Amino acid sequence: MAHAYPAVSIPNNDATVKEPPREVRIQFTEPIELAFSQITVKGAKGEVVSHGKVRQVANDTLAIDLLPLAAGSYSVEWQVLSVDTHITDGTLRFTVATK
Amino acid sequence: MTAMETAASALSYIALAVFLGQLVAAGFLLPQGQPATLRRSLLKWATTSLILFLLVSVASLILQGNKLQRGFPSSDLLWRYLTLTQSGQVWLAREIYGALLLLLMALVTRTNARGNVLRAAALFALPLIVSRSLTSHAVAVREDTALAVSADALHLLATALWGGGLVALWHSLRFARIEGGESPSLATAMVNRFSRLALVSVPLLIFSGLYQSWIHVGSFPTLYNTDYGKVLLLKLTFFALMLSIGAVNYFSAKPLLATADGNTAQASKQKALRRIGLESVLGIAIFSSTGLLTLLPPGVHAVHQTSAAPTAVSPQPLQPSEGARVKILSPAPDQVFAGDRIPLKFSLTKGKRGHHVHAYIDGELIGMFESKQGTLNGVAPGRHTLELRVVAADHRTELAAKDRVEFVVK
Repeated sequence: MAHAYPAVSIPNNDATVKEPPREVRIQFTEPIELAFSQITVKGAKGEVVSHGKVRQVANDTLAIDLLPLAAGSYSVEWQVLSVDTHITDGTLRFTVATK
Repeated sequence: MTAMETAASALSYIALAVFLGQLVAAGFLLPQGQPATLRRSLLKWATTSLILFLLVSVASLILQGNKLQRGFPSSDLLWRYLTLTQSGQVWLAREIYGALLLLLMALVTRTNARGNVLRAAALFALPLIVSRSLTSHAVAVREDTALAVSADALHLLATALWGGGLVALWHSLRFARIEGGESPSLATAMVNRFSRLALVSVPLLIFSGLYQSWIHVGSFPTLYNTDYGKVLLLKLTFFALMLSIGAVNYFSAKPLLATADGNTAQASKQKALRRIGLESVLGIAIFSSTGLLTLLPPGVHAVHQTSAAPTAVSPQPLQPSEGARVKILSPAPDQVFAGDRIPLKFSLTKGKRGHHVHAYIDGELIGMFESKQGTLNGVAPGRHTLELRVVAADHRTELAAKDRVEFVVK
């Protein structure tokens, strides 16, 4: 039962990026409520690599800062409350390529 | 949880409709000079419905808190929800307004008010009905949100007037039959007045419903391929049945009631009462399906749901534009900006398949835009190339319809 889904994410879901991103940004299909929305980025071993509070850069877009990332795969766990009261969650993934 | 949420949502709609219907019947449908007992009975039903609505709202809040906390919600969580979220603030305002209405109802009942006071009370009930639109799917529509919310509010209001009015009509006729002593013209007068109300309400709910179906379903395949579409079809079936019975009542029962003499009047009233009762049950079925619709993802979001954790955009060749076009209006070519927030404006012709645009800065996807303006945030200093590409509703299929402009951030 869910309504707000990622429409665009940076890094893209399943993307392999050459340069380690400094933040993860997700644009959802609906406006969302910041107070009950969160993003956590984890490394392959489950260590949290995101830090600080989730920021709302537009009414449908959230961003969170990242610690300096090493090469490897990362998961982005998100949960949001949309303005029409529905809660959604999911996981996106990206990989930082070895230089 | 879903069954409880559906039940709460349906009960909430039913309670609001019955509340409005009884008030409208007491204030507008009931002819003058009718026994005060009937008016009091209508007001009693209205008050009970309002209390039910307020209690169901509290239950809905706890269910929402339960989902947010994944367990019985703490008072702290509920307070944060009520004060920090739009839906929470709407809930709080609606509950306070509902409590004030309850006081008004107590006053109206105690003073045995009638006429204009009851009509005013019915008008005061309207904000309680339309406020539901502020937490509905309509408020999450990205384009023309105000229009979507207005259409939703109009739809709720028309449905509540028709469905709630029917229940009130059934209640009145049944009450009069049991209590006896009503004037012979009561049934005729109330049915006539309700018919006029229905003649206004039904077209309104049809047109607002069609608009909502268009924005929440989007296409015929979505209507029969998604849960939302299937429940909507079920609701439309109930509606068609209800409309058919209403038409029979309007074209056959109403004239019969008007012309029946003493011997046939009772039988005519009995028949009308049965049909109105059946219509009311169908109305409740419609409200129940509406309760479920509020919980289901709109059909237009099915594409996102089926690709949960979607690959937002996969590199693939641009597909034929099929009439789609996009033109960047802002930034202007070589425009210089002092900050990192770049206002974006563009014109979009969707053609056959276009739905929204993807924005790329220096080849990197940075966002999607459905409305024809927005803001590009966090753009680093330097010279950049902005490219907009028209995309199909699946967020993956980019069309050979694009525009490009260079700009500078100091």
